[in-house]
Amino acid sequence: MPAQRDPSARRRYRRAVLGGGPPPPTPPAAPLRVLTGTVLDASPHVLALATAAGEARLPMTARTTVWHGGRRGPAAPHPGQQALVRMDAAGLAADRVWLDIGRVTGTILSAGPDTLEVDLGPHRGRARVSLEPRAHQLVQVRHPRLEPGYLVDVLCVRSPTGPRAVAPATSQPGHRADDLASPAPDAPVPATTRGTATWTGWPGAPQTTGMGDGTTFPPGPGTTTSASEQSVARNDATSASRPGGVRNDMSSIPGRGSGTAFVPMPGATSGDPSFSPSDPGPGKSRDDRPFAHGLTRETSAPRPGGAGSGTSFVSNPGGVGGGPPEDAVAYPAVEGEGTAGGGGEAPPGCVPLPLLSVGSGLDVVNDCSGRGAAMTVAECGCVAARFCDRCVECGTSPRGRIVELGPVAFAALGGDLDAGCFNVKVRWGAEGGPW
Amino acid sequence: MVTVVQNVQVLLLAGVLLAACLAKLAVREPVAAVPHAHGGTRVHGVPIAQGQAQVLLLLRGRRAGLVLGLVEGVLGLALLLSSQVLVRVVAAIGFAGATWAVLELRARRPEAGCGCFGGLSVKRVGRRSVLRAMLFTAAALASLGASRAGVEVPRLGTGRVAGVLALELVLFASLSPELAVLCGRGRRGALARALAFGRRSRRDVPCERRHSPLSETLATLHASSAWRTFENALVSAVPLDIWREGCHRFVVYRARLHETDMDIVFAVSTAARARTVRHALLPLPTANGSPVSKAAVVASTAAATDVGAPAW
Repeated sequence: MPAQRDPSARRRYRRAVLGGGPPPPTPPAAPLRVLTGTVLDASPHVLALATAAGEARLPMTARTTVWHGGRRGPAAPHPGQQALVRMDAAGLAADRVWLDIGRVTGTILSAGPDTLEVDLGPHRGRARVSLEPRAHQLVQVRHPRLEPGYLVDVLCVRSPTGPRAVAPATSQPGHRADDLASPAPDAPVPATTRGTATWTGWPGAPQTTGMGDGTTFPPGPGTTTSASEQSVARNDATSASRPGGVRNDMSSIPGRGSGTAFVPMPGATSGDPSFSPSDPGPGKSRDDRPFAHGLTRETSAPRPGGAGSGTSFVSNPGGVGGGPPEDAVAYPAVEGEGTAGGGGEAPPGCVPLPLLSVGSGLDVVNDCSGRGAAMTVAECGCVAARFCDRCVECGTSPRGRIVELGPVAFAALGGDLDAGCFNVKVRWGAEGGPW
Repeated sequence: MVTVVQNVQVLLLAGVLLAACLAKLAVREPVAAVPHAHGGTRVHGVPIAQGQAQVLLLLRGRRAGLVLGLVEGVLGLALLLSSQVLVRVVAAIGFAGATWAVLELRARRPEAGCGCFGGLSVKRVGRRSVLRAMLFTAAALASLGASRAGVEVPRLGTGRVAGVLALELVLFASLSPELAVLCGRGRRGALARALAFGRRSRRDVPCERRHSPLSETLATLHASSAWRTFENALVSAVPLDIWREGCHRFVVYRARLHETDMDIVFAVSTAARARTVRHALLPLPTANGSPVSKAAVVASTAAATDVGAPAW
């Protein structure tokens, strides 16, 4: 069986044989700028972050909101915390700051009075979540059945012993994890599907799963916690404990480098074709394409006119390790044949979705913010497929989780991590023609 | 009229018991819902503790289901053939016990289904199921005043018996979630038969979602004119890459044409019938490492389309 190829090569091949497709009627707005790193210093006016590219000093305004287990004031950031910062539309000041945030989504394996052991899916391992009495009450408001066999989806904050649940991320489905309502076998697949987009992962330094075996959470889709990576992640955890030690060793996607900054790239010129997730079609420049907003990470070069005098970039100058692919999504219907990347344990889900492979392209648009980007299928959304819920961020979405984004991509498209989801519109075959 | 109603209950209960017997014997429960030998249901392969509902769920095992089904069948036949009060008393006790079991399951494990009709009763235990069990118990109590065996009931007047029976059947059908499951199975069975016989059906699985094994793709490819055109130009019989996107599975080979190394991409349809094969040629990057120009890709694609791609 051939080895899995570069996703960008697959897109190029598909475009060559099927041609380009019609553009969407209205192009989406560009993603926002997002940075992750370790808090070095914080004042009511400036947040200093240690990113992989160096120190970034981000202006804070009166409109900046801070989350750390709940809405907090500007005094909440403390040195050593892992922060994910979304800049405002102009890219000049921090708009939203999430501190030590993470998310645990999966099936409850066992439930104690103050802990939950959760199966995160066939490729993500397990986690043990601590539930303090106050958090237990909060979680039970939207998760009434904290029993084995039921699904759970909670927002957590970091702690040295493992994730600590603070609030429900979404409402718990009323059915058991294996009691799924599959679409009719002959249900047609529309070219564009609306539903729910959620996020998964732990931005910043590796976070232990709390299982006591040294395993850590993947920082986002497209990254795994295999045995070899786990040992690397354990080593990283020690180095990441000091400021500026952010390092994610999650480079399962070829061509994915390091760093965790997430910026729009309208007007960018063509570069390494294996790097850009949205290579323009033959005869088109990148600017001609409606989904020119690829999701890429900033390099070490200063950005003219950017905030923080060009110091707000996150990268890994040493070139060691790698970052989670920002354009990576977990997709519920990844085929299991050959090297497509899917697994046999993926349930059918409740939405009729086309079967795709790892490396396939999707156009993802946040229906609430209007921001969109071309994304790449990086892994099976086997857990997302078990949820048949709706998002009510802006109106009521149709049922079903269509994509699971990384935290950086989710925030860049205008989603609030503490809200848990946004209404999404997904167009299949990004850059491609009719299938 | 009261006598007719009482005696019709005997016929109704006999029919219900025989139907339950047949369903339990003929329709297996889905694997995920079957309790395992060590006494627990599994989710993701993980045993789940059942608590006090475990005893009830034990009755959902295949062996226990068979025994229960046989008992129901014997009782149904007895109601049909015997006018003994004892048979109807046993039936009333049985239906009362079933009502208690359904109430317990609704309180403790509603998602497990009641199993009243074997594998057809897999839907969540709801108020309809509880109400139905209560009405069956009421019917069993009413049947205690009957004087005839089930087979003798039509002699009371075919019209009146048929009318009362039809009304009750409509009532119980409206309270039975099993009918929807049965209809769904019927539809799926019809679909499978249609696919097996290769007839065109409006219920085909869309090509985007259809499971298409790799062997089918390769067989379609090897039978295509595009393959015959380029087969001798392939450098290796082992494809460089195979992947699936929606209605196509892509197969990439390295080829050498006109002294130029190229990648040839075949896009094989995943449809159930009339599968097509498209192809394109992509020259490799030049010797100095620069990627091939877009113009070259466009030209080669157009040429390849002219060579052998079937109508799309």
